[in-house]
Amino acid sequence: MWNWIKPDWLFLFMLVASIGLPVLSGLKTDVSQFVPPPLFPKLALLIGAMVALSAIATVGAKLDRKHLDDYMFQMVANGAVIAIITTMLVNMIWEIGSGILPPITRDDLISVMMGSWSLGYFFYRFRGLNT
Amino acid sequence: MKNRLKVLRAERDWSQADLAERLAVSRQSINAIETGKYDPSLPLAFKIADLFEMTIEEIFQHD
Repeated sequence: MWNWIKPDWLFLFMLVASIGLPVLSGLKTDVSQFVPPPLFPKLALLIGAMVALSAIATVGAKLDRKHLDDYMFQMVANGAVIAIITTMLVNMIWEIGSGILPPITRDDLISVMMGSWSLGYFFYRFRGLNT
Repeated sequence: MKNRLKVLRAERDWSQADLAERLAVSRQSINAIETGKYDPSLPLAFKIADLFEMTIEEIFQHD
């Protein structure tokens, strides 16, 4: 059973990062401007939504795989990995350059994610999955 | 990984679309396998081997 559910380092890193970001954003909020929502209910809501939506997305991806053949699915899935990495890097760069770079909104980040997903798909289609 | 898919297909006078239809995959998948851009999954490799009535090793060879 443990071998079946044993998490790997990548999973743990991504999980810690996903929990850490809202915690850090809650800690650095300027309380003189507004009162942030209580941290723990927010975390519980986020974790609950994350677990439920991840499970739904996993089932959704399985259905998607039935309609796409393996090659197309692999390209879409690999493109999604590129999108996640690109979005995280863009977010990190904007965090580091806050004050210098124009502010980035949630919608901007979703645009970056969708754009980099399509670019990742295009690059894999161009280069192939074996290179 | 090398494969003989293009040769086997040509021997039967099948187009990429014909083979794709027989395997229930996209023509792009066949093209990607033939050009070495993509290694098929094990289930697809078995389907290809069954279609050509050969073993997987006779169709796909490790570099």
